[in-house]
Amino acid sequence: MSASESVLVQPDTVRFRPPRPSFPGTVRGELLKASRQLTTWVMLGVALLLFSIFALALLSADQVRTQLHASPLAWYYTVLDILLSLFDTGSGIFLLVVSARLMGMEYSSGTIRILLARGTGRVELLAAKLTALAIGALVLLAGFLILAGAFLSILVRSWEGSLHPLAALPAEAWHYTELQIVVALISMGVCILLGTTAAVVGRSLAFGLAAALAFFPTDNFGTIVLSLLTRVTGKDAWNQVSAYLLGPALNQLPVLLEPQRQARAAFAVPLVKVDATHALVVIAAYGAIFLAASVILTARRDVLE
Amino acid sequence: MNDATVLTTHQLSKSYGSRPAVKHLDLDVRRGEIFGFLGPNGAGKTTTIRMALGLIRPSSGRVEVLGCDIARQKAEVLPRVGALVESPALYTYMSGRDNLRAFAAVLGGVPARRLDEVLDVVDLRGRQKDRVGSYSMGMKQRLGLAVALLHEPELLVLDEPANGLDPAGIVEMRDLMRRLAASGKTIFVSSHVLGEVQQICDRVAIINLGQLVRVAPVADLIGAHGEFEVKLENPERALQLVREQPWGSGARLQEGTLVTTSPSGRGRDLVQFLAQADCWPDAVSERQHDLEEIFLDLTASNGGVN
Repeated sequence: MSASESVLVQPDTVRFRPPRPSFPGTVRGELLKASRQLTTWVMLGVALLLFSIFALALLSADQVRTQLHASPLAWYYTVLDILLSLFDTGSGIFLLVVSARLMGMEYSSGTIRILLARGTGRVELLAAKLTALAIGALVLLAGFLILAGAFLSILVRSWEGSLHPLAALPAEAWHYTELQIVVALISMGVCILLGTTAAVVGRSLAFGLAAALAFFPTDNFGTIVLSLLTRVTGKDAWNQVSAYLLGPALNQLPVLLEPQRQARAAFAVPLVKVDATHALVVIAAYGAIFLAASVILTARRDVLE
Repeated sequence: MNDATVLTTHQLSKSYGSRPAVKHLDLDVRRGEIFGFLGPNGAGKTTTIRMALGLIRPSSGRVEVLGCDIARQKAEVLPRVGALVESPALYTYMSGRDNLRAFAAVLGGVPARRLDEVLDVVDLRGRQKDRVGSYSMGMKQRLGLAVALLHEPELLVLDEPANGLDPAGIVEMRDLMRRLAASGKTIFVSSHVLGEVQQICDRVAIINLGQLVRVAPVADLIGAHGEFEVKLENPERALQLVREQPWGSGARLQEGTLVTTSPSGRGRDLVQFLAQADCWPDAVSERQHDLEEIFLDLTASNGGVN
């Protein structure tokens, strides 16, 4: 190590500004960590593969082609519902895994003590992770929209010879698309908060991943349990509880925001009638609880890892 | 705290529930020294270090690092401190260089050239692109040190840096610490490898059961016992003679060698006494205790080693 001697003896050979924790720097670090995770790329690869399979299935479906020719609006709604349902589910799983990993690995590997021992604030670190995840989610959504848009354009052009069926869609179709994108953004935000909170609560990667991934299946399944309890006890109060479950509220939101379409939600929905405002309040309440739990636990607990 | 002091604890205490981990600890680490922090497992070393780095909050008392109260000025002072706390904490799925990039990004302003330099310092330039998961324990430990060195810290806090290292790795780490100290850095090192501490530290603090037992320069600790080892032809007779003296009641034989204090504390007075009694010594040497003996004595008398 003799070559390094001069570096140690003359520390001023490399000059840089006095170190100070910076929020943009911390966000950059988090993006680097997420981008270097093999799981991230494997999941994106699987998503691309599934999208390709879906595209091939659509290309070979004669009734879809017939529908496009007969009623472009109905065709557009059908394809968009399928695509966005797939995106919501896929992006949800992806963001739950990535967010639980990004936070949980700091506890499991003990790197949180190194980060905090460099002067990074605890809440600042959490905020940087959430920001990096939000950036990732936006890139994911943008990538999906570009991919889906390109696919639909190619499909329409090859079947109809021009983009006219798409260009001629009424304004309500684009309004519906915007609403669906807002729902996707809300869903991604909740997934990021849930994944992060699970890791913070358990202070472990394994716990964070398990809790985050189990949450939605559990509360979707919860509606079945509540329905059974209603039947067994004869009390409607159990059905009422389902109106306050996060998963069913998220599932029902796209339908509630556009009631004229009378679309059907994928997965479980509340067992009682709720409106869009109620669903949004329930989702916001869960988001606020997740965020508050993350902030309070991160800020107050000693770092023993 | 003055300019010469870089780390001070004032009546620092930490309890977990009803169990005290650190009790009223007062320490001063001076600029430019290698300060050893010794104690058996569970003595409170790591808890103290975590409090010094703002990772856990003291139950009472406070810590000043580089003149700043760590509880209130963490963001100002911690970027000037490099730390290696317990086992090296790294992102094992990333390469060594990406680890440095990720940690450097937090503080920003680290040129790429500096990454190369610290990799050279810890001798990992050749493995910088390999996944950290494939590194040996010693390599991880060295990379952890490289992370700590990224921003030219004024104070390095190293918690058990020899943990998990093989003998060659321990020698490497020792050399590295010496060179860092020579470059003007203050090093606060906790360890239970006492031979290493004895070789590199200027001063040591010994802690046991959360309490400070002793702080002293290493030289004072190992030479402070005032005993002499005397080799002679008839040690039994010499022992009898010495024990009859008021200053020689603690004299004893160890493997045929007389171990005793001297009438005045000086070796030549002991030689003179023995010569006058016709017990001519073949050799007289001041007895040097090693740090391990002293450590065991001090911790045993203070409640025992866990």
